[in-house]
Amino acid sequence: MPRFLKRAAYSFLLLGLLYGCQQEVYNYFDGFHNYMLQEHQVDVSKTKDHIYYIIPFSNCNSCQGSDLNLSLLEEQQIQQEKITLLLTGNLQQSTHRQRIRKLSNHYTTIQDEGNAIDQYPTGLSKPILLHIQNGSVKKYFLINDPDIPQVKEYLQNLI
Amino acid sequence: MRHWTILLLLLLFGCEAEISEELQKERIPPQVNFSNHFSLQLADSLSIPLPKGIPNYLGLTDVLEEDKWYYYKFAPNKIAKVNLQEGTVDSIVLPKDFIDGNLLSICRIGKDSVLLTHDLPAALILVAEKKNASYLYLPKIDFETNNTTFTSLSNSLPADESNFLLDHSSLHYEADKKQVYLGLQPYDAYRNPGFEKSQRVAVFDLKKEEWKKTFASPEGMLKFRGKGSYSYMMSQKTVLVKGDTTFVNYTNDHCIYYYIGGEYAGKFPHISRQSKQLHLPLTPTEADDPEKIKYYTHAAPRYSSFHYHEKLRLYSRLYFDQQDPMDESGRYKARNLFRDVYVSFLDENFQHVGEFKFPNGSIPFRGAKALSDGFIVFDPRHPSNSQLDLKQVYKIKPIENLNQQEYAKISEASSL
Repeated sequence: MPRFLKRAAYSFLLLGLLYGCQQEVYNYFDGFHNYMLQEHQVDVSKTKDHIYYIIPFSNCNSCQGSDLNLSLLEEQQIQQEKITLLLTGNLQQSTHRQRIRKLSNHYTTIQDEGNAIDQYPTGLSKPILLHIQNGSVKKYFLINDPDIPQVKEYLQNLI
Repeated sequence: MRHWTILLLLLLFGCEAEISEELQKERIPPQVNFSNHFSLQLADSLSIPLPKGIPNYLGLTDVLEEDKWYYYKFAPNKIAKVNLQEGTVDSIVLPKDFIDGNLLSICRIGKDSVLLTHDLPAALILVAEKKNASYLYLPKIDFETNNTTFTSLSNSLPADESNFLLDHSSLHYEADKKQVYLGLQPYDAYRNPGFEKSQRVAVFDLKKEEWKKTFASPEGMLKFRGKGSYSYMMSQKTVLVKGDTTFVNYTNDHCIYYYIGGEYAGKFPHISRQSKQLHLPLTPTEADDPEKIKYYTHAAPRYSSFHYHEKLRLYSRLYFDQQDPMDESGRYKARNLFRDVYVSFLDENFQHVGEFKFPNGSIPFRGAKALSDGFIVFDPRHPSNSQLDLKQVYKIKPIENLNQQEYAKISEASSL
């Protein structure tokens, strides 16, 4: 193999590695697909353009993370037809019940009170935003508290 | 070209945590001599009526001491006292000022009094019948650590605030000295490096209300974890105190480590014939992925509790074999219910003298409670409101005392 070709091949390999180390990829689409299909009879592989905003309430019912995500959704009602809220865990104990009730008037809301999502590999420990386009993940956010502005910006850019 | 290769290798190593040779060695089951002198025999089934208002056991905080079993369930806020010999259930009514919370361990300290541990904040709670509960908040410990973040955070805490997490089911009361032994670990020690020298057992003096001593820095898998991180599940341990000897049993380690008078005295393998390679610590990237931790809890082999059976002078340890974590529909299987579970016995010289395989599907994690001469096994999934069903009461039997028919039964049950 000519020397320049070898160099080019190494460069691509290196770039690929660097990208692989840095890029946030959602590795659990199969698990999420199985969960939605078996538990909620929704086939996300046929989704054309939709966002699933998943907020787990089983670990932390009143902590700041849930509060920030709910506030973000309260502000983003313009995107309501494009977003499905998926709330997992026992909401009876949640201090945010009133807010959730109001939000469910605006967004399509799926409640998984029994936390069935825990039986599937979905990578859920913190809130997740999954933007699915043509049956595959276009954008994925694992939402730590400092990521909220980034998520907000992403949703606003979709308008 | 050479520079490219070096850069490539550096990148590859940068993405992966380092795995030391010692760690690889520790995860492989050691060679031991197995002999077959003891086994378990299904002896009985007990059905004890539950008095009105006493809840059934739900696999939560409990202790079995001298064949008396105490378990706690919030609402109706009672501690059930089960006398297994007499087949009766009584209760200690918790005082009105009792605060429910994260209760981890119970131990009996008198006829009608118990001591409980509470985590976050770490506290000892003394509950005596017809008296108010007394709370003793545990002060911080000066742990040995190279983790500077922990040290600075710890230094900034007031002396009466704790800087550790308490273990489940690791509480021992020493009546003569009025001291308690507690299994614990510094905050975040399972997640972050730099805690290789930090102590994992502490002795608290109830009279002076101060720490008497701390000991048992990690050995084995935990000691050699390198830059890798252990989840909370992978770093769990139980502590057994017998006289002046303290045994430390890590769920992710083939060996038991023991300390005499607080000094490290040695280790011995306590494995099953079926023991497999143990799970390596998670790389920093894996540790951020909840599914990697789920894989450990649903699939990886691990040990659970370690016991001493006084009547037979035998030690026992439970081993949960590895399993395929997913079912055909892509769901996680139950964590433990369908695993093969073995109990192996050691004599007082720590020699392997017997093993038994529990019937499939009979034993959830921590579902077997050690008796002085056997085990009782619970399935807390379908509790009755009216009775406590102990479907399996096993007794440890010397194999030479069994007749041929009994031996055949045991051999078949234990698949040895």
